[in-house]
Amino acid sequence: EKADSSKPTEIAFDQLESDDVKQIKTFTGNVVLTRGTLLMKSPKAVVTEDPEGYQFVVLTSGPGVQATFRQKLDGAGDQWVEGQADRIEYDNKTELVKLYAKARIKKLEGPKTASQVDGEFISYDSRKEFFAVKNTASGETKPGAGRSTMVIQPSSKLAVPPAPPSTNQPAPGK
Amino acid sequence: QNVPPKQRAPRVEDKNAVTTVMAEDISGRPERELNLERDAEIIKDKTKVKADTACYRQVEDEVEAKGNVKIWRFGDYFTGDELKLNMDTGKGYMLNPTYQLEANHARGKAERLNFINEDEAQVVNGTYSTCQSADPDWYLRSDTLNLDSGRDVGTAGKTLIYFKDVPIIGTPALSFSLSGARRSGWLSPTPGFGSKNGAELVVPYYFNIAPNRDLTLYPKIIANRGIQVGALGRYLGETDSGLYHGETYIEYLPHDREYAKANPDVKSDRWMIRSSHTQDLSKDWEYSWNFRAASDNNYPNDFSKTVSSSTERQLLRELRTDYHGDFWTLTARVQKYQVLQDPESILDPTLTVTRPYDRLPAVNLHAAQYDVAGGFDWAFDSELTRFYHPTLINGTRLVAIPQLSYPIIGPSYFITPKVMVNMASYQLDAFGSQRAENLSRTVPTFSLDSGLIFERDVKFGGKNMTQTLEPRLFYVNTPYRDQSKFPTFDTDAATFNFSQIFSENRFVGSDRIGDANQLTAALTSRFLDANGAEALRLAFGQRFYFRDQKVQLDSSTPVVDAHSDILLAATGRISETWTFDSAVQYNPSQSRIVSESYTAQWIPGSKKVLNLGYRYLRDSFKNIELSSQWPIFQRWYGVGRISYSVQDKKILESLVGLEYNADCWVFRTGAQRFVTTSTKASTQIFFQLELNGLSHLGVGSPLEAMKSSIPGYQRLNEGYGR
Amino acid sequence: CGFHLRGDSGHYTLPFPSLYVGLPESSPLAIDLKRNIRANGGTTVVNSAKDADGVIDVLSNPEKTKTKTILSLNSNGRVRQYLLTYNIVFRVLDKQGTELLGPTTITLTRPIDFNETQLLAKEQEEALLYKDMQTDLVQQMMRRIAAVKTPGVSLPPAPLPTDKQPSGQPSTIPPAVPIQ
Repeated sequence: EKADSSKPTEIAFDQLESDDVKQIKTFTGNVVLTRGTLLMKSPKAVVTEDPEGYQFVVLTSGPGVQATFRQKLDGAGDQWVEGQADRIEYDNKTELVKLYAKARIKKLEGPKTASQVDGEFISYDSRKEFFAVKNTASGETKPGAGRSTMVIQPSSKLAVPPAPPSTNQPAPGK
Repeated sequence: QNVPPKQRAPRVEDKNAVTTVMAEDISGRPERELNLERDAEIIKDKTKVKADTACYRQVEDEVEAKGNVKIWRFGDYFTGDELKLNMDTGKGYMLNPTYQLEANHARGKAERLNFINEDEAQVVNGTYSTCQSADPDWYLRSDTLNLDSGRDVGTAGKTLIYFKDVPIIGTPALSFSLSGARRSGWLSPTPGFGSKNGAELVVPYYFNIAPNRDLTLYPKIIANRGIQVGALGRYLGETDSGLYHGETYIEYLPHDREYAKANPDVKSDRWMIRSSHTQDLSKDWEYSWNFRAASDNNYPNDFSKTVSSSTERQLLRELRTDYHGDFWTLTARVQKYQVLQDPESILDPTLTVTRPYDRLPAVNLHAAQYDVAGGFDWAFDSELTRFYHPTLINGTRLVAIPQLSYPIIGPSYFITPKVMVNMASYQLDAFGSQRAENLSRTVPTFSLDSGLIFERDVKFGGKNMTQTLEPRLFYVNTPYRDQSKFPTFDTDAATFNFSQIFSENRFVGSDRIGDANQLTAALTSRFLDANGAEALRLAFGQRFYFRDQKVQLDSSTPVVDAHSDILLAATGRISETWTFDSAVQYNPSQSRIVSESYTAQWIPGSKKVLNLGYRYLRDSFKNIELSSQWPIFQRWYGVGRISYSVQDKKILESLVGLEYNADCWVFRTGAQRFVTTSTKASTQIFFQLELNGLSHLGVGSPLEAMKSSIPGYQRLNEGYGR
Repeated sequence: CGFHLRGDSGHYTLPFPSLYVGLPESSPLAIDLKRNIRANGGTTVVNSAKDADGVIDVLSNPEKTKTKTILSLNSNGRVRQYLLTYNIVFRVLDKQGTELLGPTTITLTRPIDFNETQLLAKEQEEALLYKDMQTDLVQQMMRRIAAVKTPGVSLPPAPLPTDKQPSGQPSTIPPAVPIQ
């Protein structure tokens, strides 16, 4: 939500190494960063602070565990955005979230996934709710370097009744 | 019959379908707009769009695409430079499109293509063809072209048809159907040329008034005669008391110049009418009429295009009504005949066409019940008829035939004794020197029909089959009653064949009841395959007379033979590709053949058939027939028929034709010649270019001629509407 | 030479306790066929398809499709023989409507000599020939029906295929993984 920009950023972690000279803090061990409805998690996170106090966070995944983030959206209904990638960069000045390598962003309406996009690089602007998907982990689109895919569910606005769960009678002799 | 156009499954977009979007670069807001760059692809249910760049607005469910756009939609395929399509409503357009439709594999290209809805698209300044190659042999170019695969209709604005890039025909508005559905509009013009009529041209117009009503007009210009207008109306419907259907065809040619020259003092208007109608008055009661008339005797010679129409010279006009009880039927009919006398009969009296008796009226009752009162079958037939004839004796006849039988039927035998009485009374008007008089007669008949059925398993033609052996004996005893004074209104000797040898009377009609003390013996053997189908049937039959046959049609001497002709028949399939049918009637006392017919059909493969036939009836005709459809060379097919009268050393009917089968058009040419009178024959030339799925242009209707003259003929462009 | 009276080896009896004939009530073919079914013994004719073990479903009614075409002309162009055709397309369904005998075509033809001097007599002879073809057709239909293999009458409907994925459910989207 837009209200997140006025919220403080808290980080929970197991270990911390801090380099006060370069203002770089490295958190390791199920790091959890929260700021209002924004919630980011990863095995390791490196936070650097600029002179005005804005933080630039880089979350990196570990073996079998990707960095993830989750944030509530403005607008009616219980709408959330969830993302995951091998590496996530978050700049709380521009409020831009960048997901690198095997990136995925899902938009949810309550429990139901409204849409899901997969690509090598996804950048997401939470203020304008605008996102861009590139096909190389470097962040630019190289021709012929493969395609990203987005699957959109039928728009919920049409309030399509979810298909009744089909009751499979147990087949005889199963 | 009203054949509904082929309805396909309606094209419905699944509203709950998932939309999948792919591209090398995707950006935008999931709810509102997605911009796809490079190798973009959007898939939703039955629609897939591929393009260089595309933009998808989810709320409006709308796609815009640019740069070699390809779209697959409900089995159709389009390409173009630019596309705008609303996947929900199916509305949109495409620039510089090419299209391929599922219906008839039709394809073409255009300046612009407007999608109207899932089924309808409008091609602006485009082409249409059913040829599969990129450079089609024929195509239609039109400024507006409505393709509607939902109702299978394609109408076109100003249109030119090109064949091998040569414009061959242009029309203001040409309606054609993507797959044979009916649509009002001009049908393809058909020029023709005949020895009597000179050049002629007909451009029919078709009114599809309603699904169950249509009208076709045939304005025709005939060089030597004038302008003729034909109209065919067909209708089918239902009232609360039941169904009705009918068809009426009228041809009218005011002031026939050719005819006026030959017959100056006679009115020169020429017309012909043919009308039939059947209507239910209630569940069990219906009436119908069947009406034919023509303006003059020469009509069949001058205007007949087919063998059958040239031979119809006794035109029936009939009005009838039938009432069905639960075990009886009452029929009342009024019948009159118009005879178109053969002009040649003035010179050769043997060619006179006889005028049949009119029945004004004829009331029939038929009642029958089976297995009543412990196994009896009874039937009662009665007819009251007033016979009228301008030159022969007139009279009223009442006939009543009660009959009773007791069939004993078992799985392998049957015995049916039957008793019947034929009671008839005549009221004859005065005729020439004879005074009016009443006659009557009563003739009882006893008959005993019996038969056994034997079976055995047998191997025949490589398959195991069941062979039956069915002996049958049929004894008839009818006393002699002198019937020489009775006129013959509707009676003649029945042809001696397997259908007739088991009926009690050797005459057909009610004016003669043949005296009989005779036994008919027959033996039938059938070869039945596993599912009961009859592969081959052999039959032998002969009748033995224990008394002379005194009753004759006229006063000729009684027949004194001890036994009748022998009947032999064999019909069936002797191999996968050969079937044959043969029947012989042999007279043993004069040891000569009375009638024989042998026909064989060989179908070795698709579009290959050969029919051979020999038919002989003593003192009537001796004809050899041969007809075939055969591939000659690559795409060329030959078609031929010849019917030759051996007796008169004369070709009666011949047809020769060539067909070329390209992938999207068929060219047919050929000629047909058939005898119309003893000295004259009619020759029809035809050539036709059929553009598959569009229409056919050319002279005459060769397809119908080929289908009717060559049994087993297969149409080369199967599956295309018309 | 191996011949034995028919009926001993069961070629004859119809494998249906009750049959329904899908033809209009007053059609002569229907009357003749029903009569033969009854005379066959062991099979009754019922008036509604629902409670019939076998349904004779007539796809093309011969009384409507019979044709009369010219067979031979004489040298004066007059017709001397017509060919009468009488053909039926029918199939046999069981109580549940499944096809026991697929669409079967039986075509019969009879030539009839013609002479315009005896038009009225030839009309009646034509009726006689059509009646004869109808009787022949009924015999051939009876043999076809007698040869139908019935898998035992009125079996319970075949069990539904087990746990078939209802087609509407897109199976591509993995279930959402709840994040703590």
